Amino acid sequence: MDAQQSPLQRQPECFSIKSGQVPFATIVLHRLDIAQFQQQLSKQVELGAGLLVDAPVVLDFGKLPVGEAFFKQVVQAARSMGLIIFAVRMKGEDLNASCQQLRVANLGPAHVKPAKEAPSPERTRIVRQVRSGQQIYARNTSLVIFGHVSDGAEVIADGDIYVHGNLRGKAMAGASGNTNAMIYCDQLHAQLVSINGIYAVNEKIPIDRGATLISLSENQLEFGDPQ
Amino acid sequence: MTLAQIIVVTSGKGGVGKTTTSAAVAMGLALQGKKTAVIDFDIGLRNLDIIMDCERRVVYDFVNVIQGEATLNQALIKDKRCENLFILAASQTKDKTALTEEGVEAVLAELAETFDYIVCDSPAGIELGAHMAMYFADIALVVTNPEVSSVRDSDRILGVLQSQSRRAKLGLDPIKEHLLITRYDPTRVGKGEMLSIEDVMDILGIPLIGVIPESESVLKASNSGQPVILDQKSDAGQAYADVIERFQGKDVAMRFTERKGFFQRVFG
Ligand SMILES: Nc1ncnc2c1ncn2[C@@H]1O[C@H](COP(=O)(O)OP(=O)(O)O)[C@@H](O)[C@H]1O
Ligand SMILES: [Mg+2]
Repeated sequence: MDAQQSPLQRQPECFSIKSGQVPFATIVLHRLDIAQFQQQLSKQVELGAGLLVDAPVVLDFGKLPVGEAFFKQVVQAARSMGLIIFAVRMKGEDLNASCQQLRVANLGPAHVKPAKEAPSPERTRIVRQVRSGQQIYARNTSLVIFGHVSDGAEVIADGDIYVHGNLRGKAMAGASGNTNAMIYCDQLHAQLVSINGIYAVNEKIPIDRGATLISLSENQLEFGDPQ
Repeated sequence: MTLAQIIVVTSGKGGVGKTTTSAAVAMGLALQGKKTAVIDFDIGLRNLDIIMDCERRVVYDFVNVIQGEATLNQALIKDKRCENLFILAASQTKDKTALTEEGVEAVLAELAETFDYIVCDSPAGIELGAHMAMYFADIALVVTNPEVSSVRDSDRILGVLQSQSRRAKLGLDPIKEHLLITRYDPTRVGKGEMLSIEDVMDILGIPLIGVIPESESVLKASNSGQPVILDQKSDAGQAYADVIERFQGKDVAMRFTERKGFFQRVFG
């Protein structure tokens, strides 16, 4: 080509593609009951104070034998309550056509970690206050924070979370699935705490109890004293 | 050669007292013999020049200098009351995108050669103007009102200072942060309508450089084009003077933080 270059060649690229991990909530279905689903979800949406509304959410059908009609009802019900259902987890490929129709990705069945596979002993250490608007994600490790976690900040770990300070923001431990994960903090004034996706918000979180160890017991969050 | 210290006056939230503080602190430092420039980064909303009473003397502004339409010497306005103080006004007409990192850096670098302090009055928010005001800072005055939304925004700004400033990006010593609580009303704090000094300090976790009381003298001063620090009869003026003392390392006790007694309320 001569001196006249095509404009396309001269322009820098308009975008680049990054693959990152975005934290999202997963709704794990235990039963094939659309009425109960709607009832529980609308309660949860109300309680969650906007946590689920307009947020990316995955529907996990586990090993349930889902039919096409139920599948569509569940997705539509969740969407009508304001959730952004962008993907589902289920076994088999029978419903791939329905997935396409509803514009959801099928991620396949969730990868269930064997219980004895403890989180790796490595930890991510943060020596400062985590401030409003900041998010820290410790992938595959535990997270240790020497400092407060501000209201409006989010700390997330696949393993445990230790906050040597006041936890005022959101803390999500066992984020990729780990029922043994725990959260420790010197003082608890959190907006949200969650372990393995089981969460509590605002009023459901006891305050003014000083050092607290939060764990999961029979799918319920337990707020205890450190031993 | 002096190399100026760059101070950003920032908050996240609007209407908390950044411009009032920028004017008072710049004047206070200048009165102590420090050659000081104060720059209005609130492009499109000129108001520092009004508080400094040099509105009608603005010929060239900050953006004119960045765009090479005027020299710094042409645009700097010398204060009528204090020969050490210079004002660089914001443009009322140009849009914010005129602030480029290279442009701002060039202006600050030229100022830094002859000034002791450069005070940058940040606009609200965390957009371009606020980013440019804080990016080159050595010192931050984080202006916070004792209420939840203001404290939350200040916390967010602290996160930005700690991760997006030039010092953070280059891995230099962090920006030195000072908390300045303004519009503090001890009576309303006593009634539980406002956060206490302890609450604010506990949430933000940075050292306190001063508490400026809610005071009518602030509005009076700005209406008459006077930085309130020049009104040394007023509580707010004295509180700002204390800030300047502490800024220079002196140990000065906090004042105007207690509720007024009965007699003061009636006669004070
Ligand atoms: N200590 C104070 N007491 C009373 N009014 C104040 C005080 N500080 C600021 N104000 C008033 O609050 C308003 C906003 O102040 P300003 O300095 O312009 O804030 P910002 O620059 O953060 O938007 C102005 O009307 C100002 O007079
Ligand atoms: Mg202002």
